Amino acid sequence: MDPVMHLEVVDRDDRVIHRMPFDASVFPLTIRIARSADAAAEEVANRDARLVTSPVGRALLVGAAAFAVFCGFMWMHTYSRSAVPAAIGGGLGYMLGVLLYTMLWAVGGRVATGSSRFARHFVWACVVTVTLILLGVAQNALLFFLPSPFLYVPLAVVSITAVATTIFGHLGIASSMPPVRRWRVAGIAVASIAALVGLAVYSGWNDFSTRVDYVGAIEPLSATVIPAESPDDFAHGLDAVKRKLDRKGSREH
Amino acid sequence: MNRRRWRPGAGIAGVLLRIAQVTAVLLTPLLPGSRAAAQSTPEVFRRFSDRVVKIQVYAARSTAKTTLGSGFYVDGSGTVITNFHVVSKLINEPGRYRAELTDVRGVTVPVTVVAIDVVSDLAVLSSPTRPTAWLPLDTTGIRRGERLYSLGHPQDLGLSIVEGTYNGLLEHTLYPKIHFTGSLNPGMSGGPTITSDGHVAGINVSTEGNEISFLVPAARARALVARAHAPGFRVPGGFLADAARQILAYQDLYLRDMFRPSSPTVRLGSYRLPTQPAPFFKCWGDTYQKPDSQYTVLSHQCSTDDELFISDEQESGVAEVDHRLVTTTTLSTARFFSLYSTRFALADLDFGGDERYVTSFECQTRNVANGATRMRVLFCARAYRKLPGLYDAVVRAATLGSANTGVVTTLKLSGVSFPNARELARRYIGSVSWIQ
Repeated sequence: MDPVMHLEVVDRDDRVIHRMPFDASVFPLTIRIARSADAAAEEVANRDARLVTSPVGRALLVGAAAFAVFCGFMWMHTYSRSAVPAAIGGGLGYMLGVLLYTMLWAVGGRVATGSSRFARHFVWACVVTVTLILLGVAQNALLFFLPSPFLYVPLAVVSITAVATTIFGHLGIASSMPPVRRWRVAGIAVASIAALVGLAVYSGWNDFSTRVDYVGAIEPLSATVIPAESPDDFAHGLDAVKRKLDRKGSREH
Repeated sequence: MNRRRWRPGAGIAGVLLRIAQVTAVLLTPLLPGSRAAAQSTPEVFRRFSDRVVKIQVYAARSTAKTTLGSGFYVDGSGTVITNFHVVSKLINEPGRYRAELTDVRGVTVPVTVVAIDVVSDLAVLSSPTRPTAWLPLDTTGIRRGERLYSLGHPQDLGLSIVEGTYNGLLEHTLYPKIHFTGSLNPGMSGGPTITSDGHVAGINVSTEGNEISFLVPAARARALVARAHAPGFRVPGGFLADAARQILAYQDLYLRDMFRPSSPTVRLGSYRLPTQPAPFFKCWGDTYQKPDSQYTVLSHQCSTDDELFISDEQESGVAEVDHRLVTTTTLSTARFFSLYSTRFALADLDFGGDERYVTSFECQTRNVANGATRMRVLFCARAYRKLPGLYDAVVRAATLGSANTGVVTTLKLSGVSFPNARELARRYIGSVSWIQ
């Protein structure tokens, strides 16, 4: 265009909306309007590539991967010939839960900062959910190899850390808090949840039950690699059970 | 030569014969061991119903009964026999309940428990009355098919009589039981089942409906009464401690030889497993596959039938063995083990019970190797609060190492000592093997 020409885009009230240079999108093209004296027009990225790296694009990709993990997890736990449709249904159920959870953070972020950032919250929620599923699988495998009640303490620490990290990540998306403050807020939230859970466990500590509760996970491993003890050693180890029972029996109910 | 046919009724011989016949008819009912077939049900009721009483249990400060049963006098000192389960509330919660006896005339008096036999489900009571008639516990020689008469107070409808048939002692039971083909009903527990001449064959104890009922043999009641009347008889520690001692002695006896190396085994797939641990176990098998499922379950179960009544909320004395062979030809290894884990963790281990009588369970899980056979083994037990030294226990094992088949086997024991539970768990695990 002639360097002396002046181009403005105005609205009905003659308010200037755009001045040169500016970009106008006519899908799939992006047109930049500039004076010839302006710096050479930058190569405008292909819209498709921008779509992939945009928050929405990332959310779609990560969501699809998470959905595949959910369906795979459900398929692993379905043993009928109609396992595939059942797995897809289960996967959709998981995804619906993730979407509802994401919506809560998006609403909170909208209230706090004016921006929902739904796509970013959704990506983080998918990553967290998949991680928790994998943690559960790893926990069962560990308890299979080392069936000791003492494992429950470190496993609880891992679970608490996972929850704190989840909150930390969402706060980073929903607010402009510095990292130290975010960890502090996440820590307070987790401590509150842990205190409530601890109170609930403590109050139910002596709750009577006629059921037998135990971890039933069995791992697909060759028998030769599984550490095992003899029936005699197993029987000797049952004295600990008797001691606990005798203590229970001597307590007033 | 003329022959003269001898005809009775002629002359002095005939008169003497007639006298002998009448005398026989009159005296036959009084002869020991005789059964006068001519006794009718109304006649049995008329002659013997006054020896049967109604037993009712009340909360200490209440006039509404909580339990109703029957009983009968066994001697002139007011000794009454009934079932343990009729008066169990007095035993389990002493001081909170009282028992009364009402005789056929409607006279009500308090009664106290003197002795119990928990295994046979019997109790001896003492009443202040001095009956003039009672039922002797001395029946012998009853034949299968003989008619018997059961007396009691069904559903509090009044003293009733039920005809039935003696079908002998059940075979292969933990303790003696008579099979009576007659309709016993709730409320008749503790009442007598007698012959037509008033001798007690057994004490009403339970029914399965369809005229299948059971009696405690009179000999067990006789032994309990003799023990109660022995000089210096006492119940050290109270009746609950006595019940615990009886059950401990009883379970020592029947568990002693279970799951020995010489015990019977059954083959399921590639595994050899214990079965029919003793003659008093009944065993059943089945196979299970839903049309849509990708696996098959082959089951084999054995259990005893002879539970002991402890309280309304708790029964004991039962042993069960349960094997489930899980097999697939289509599931991948990972999916098979996911399925296998759910079978091992199956939430079917609920023993029932009340926190007044039992604790909750304590468990231990380990991996155990019996030769070449690796297993994931769970042991859980709970203690009886009021019967010291007694426990319920469960052992569950899942074989490991195969990608498409495995056995989940379960042993359940109720009312056992902990040393017996531990020893049987060791023997049980040791009897599971993989046939290579």
